[in-house]
Amino acid sequence: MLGLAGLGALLGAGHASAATSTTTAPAASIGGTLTVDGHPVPGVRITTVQGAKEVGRAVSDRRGVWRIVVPGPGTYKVKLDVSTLPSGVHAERPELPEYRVFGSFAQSAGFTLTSGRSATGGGQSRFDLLLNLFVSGIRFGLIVGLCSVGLSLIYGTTGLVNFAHGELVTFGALIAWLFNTMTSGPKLPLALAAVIGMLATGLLGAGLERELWQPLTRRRSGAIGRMLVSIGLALFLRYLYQVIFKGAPRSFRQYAAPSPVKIGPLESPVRDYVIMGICLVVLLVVAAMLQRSRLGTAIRAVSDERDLSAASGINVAGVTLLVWIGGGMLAGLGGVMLGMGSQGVQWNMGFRLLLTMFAAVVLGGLGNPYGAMAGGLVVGVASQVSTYWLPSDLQFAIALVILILVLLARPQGILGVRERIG
Amino acid sequence: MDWTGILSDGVRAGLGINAAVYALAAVGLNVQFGYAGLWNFGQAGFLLVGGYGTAIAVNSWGLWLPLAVLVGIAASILLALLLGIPTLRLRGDYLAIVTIAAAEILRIVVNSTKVQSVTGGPQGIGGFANWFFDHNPIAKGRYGFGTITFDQRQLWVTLVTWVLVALASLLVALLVHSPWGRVVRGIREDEDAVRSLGKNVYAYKMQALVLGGAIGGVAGIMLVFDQQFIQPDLFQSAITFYAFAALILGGTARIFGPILGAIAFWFLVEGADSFLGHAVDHNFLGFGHLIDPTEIGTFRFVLVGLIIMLLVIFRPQGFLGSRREVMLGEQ
Repeated sequence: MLGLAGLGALLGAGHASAATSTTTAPAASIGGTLTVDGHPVPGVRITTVQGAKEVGRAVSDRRGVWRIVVPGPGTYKVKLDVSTLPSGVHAERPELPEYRVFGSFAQSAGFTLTSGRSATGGGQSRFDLLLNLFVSGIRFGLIVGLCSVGLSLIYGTTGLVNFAHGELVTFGALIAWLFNTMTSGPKLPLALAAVIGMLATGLLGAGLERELWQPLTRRRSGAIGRMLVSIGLALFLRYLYQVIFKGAPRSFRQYAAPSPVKIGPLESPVRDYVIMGICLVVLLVVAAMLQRSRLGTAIRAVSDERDLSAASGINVAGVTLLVWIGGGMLAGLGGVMLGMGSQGVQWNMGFRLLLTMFAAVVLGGLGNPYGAMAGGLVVGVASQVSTYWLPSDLQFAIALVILILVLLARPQGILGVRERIG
Repeated sequence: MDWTGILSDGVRAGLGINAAVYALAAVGLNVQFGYAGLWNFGQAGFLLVGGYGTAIAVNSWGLWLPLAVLVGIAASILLALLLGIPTLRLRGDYLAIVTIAAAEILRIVVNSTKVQSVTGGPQGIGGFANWFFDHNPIAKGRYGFGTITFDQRQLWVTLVTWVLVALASLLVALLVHSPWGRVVRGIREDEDAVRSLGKNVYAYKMQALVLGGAIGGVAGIMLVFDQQFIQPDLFQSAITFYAFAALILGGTARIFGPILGAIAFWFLVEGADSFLGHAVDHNFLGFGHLIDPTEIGTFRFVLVGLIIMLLVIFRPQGFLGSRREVMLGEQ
C-alpha cells in the first residue's frame, strides 16, 4: 500500500531534469500514507530535520496521508514521532536517517507500521487473525470478481484486452461520490447514488462501444491496435478524472469511519458484510442470467465462438453492445463497493485494480465470466491472507505472482478451454 | 506569449536526455514489437532491472562502474529469459499481460521494506555513477545555441546516450537486414509458415525478446545515470506507454522510427507543457481561469493518451512506417 500511495504525485518524477522554464514547478516535498492492516493511521506526527534544524513537520490526516514541503534538494532526516502512534501500533523503522530529496517534485517516504496483534499474538490468536484476513480477502475477491466479469466478457466477445476497464471502475465510484457527497450536488443517499453511478458507467460503456470500438472493429483494426487505443483511452480518462476531481481520496457520506463489530472471532464493520452481501447477490444474479436466459446463452455463445454465433443468427453487434453495458454497470458498481472501503474514492483507484483484475481473468480463463468470478475470489483471498506472512506492501505483487504461476502451469486458467491459448 | 520560449523548451526536450533514453527504450521495443511482433508491455521492467542491477552492484558489492553496467545488462537479459520461457509459446496477449504484471511486481518488490537494505526501498539509492561523471571530458561551461543550452554534465550524459542510441540502431539495422531479420519478420507475419520451413520459432522469438530487453536495460542505466539516483517510482508503467507512443509516432519496423518518434514525442509533450504553463501565467485565451497551475503536469498525460489513440486510429504507421508492415492497421 505504501508504494502506491505516492503514485499520483510521483508520475512526474522521471522527468524532473526536463523541468521547463515556467514558474509553475512544484516545490520539493516528502510524503506518504500511513496504514496498518489496510486501515489509515491518522494523527501521527512526522518531522524532517536537516543538520540539527527542524525544517518541516506534518500530521497524518484522516486517510493517513502526510506531506511535508522541504526547502529543496538535499539530504534530510525524516522522523516519525512514535509517541503519537495509536496504542498497539509500532513503526518498524521510525527514523530514516539519510533521506535524499532529489529534485523539485513530490517524493514518497515509507514507514511500515505493524499492529501488535499480528504474528506475535496480542489480542487475537493466530487463527483468528488468519480468519479475519480470509474474510477480508473474500470481500476484496468479490469486488474484484464483480469488476472483472465485464473485462472477461468483453475479451470473449470482441477479443479486446481492455486496459481502460479500470477507468470504468473509477467512473462508477466518482459519479456515485458526486451524487452522494459533492457540496453543490443533490446529496442523495449512497444506495441511490450507487445505482446512478452504475447506470452511468453502463452508459459510458455503451457510448465507448458505439462511438469507438464498433467503428474500429468495422475498420478491421487488429487486436494489438485496439489494445493500444485502450491504453491511450485509459491514460486520457484517468488524468481527466484527476483534473476534474483532484488528487486526494474522498469518502462517501455514509460509512466513512465505521467501528468494527465483533461476531465470534470475526471483527469487521457492518459495512464490510453489506458489501459482501451486495456483491454476492449481484454475482449470483449475473450467473443465473448467463446460464438460464436466452440473452445469457447468446452472450456465452458469442464469447465462445464469434463467427459461428453470427452464422447461426445471433445479432453479434447487439450482444456486444449489451456486454459493454452490463460489464460497465458491474464495473461501476464494483467501483462504488471499492470506494466504500478504507482506500476511498480516488482518480486512479480503478487503475490500481487493473492488474489484479487481469490476474483474476487470466486465472479463471480469458473470456469465461464464471472464471473471472472464481479467479477474483482466489486472487482476493490470496493477496489478503499473504499479509499474515509478508509485509502488506507486497500484497499486490502476490496477485501478479499467482498470475504468472498460473500461466506457467495451466495457461488456459481454471475454467478455460485448451484451444484458446495457442 | 513567449512563443520562442515555448519552442525552445520543446526543442531542448526533443534533443535532451529524456528523448535519448526513450529512443533507446523504443529501439528495444522496435526489435520486439516492430520486427518480431512480440507484445512486450513491460519495457519499464527491463529499464528497472538494468538500473537497479547497476546501482546495487556499485552500492552493495562495491563493483567498478563499467562492470556494474554489465551486471545491469545481464539482469535485463535474465528477465527476458524468465518472461520468455513460459509465455512465448502462448498467444500474444498473454505475453502482454505477463510482461506488464512482471514490471509491476518488480516495482513493488524493490519498493518493499523487506529488501530495503539492498534496494533502499522507497528512498532508493543515490550517488553510484560518480565514476561516469568523473570521466567527463567536457570542460565546465554551458554549450548550445540560443536559449537551448546544456551544462557539461547534461551534455556528457546526453551525448553518451545518443551515441548508444546510434550504436543500438546500427546493430538492429545489421540484424534485421540479415537472414535472422527476415526470419523474425516472417514470424511476425505468419508464425506457422515460418515453422513449416523448419525454423525454431521459439528460439527466434526468445532472441528478439532478449535483444530488445537488453537495449531496454541500457536505457534504464542511462536514465538513472542522469539522475544519479534510483527509486522505484522512476519505473512506472507509464514509461512503457511513453515508449510505445514514441515508437508508433516515428513508425514501427523502421530503423529511424524510434529515434524520430522519441524526438517528436518529447518535443510535443514538453512543448505542450510549456505552452500551457505560459498560457496559464499570461491568461492566454482565458487559460488562466480554466486550468490551475498545479494541474499542468496532469494535462501532459491527457495529451499523451490522446496522441496514442489518434495515432493508432488514424495513422498507425506513424511518420516513417509502411502500412503494409505495421501490425496495427487493417488485418
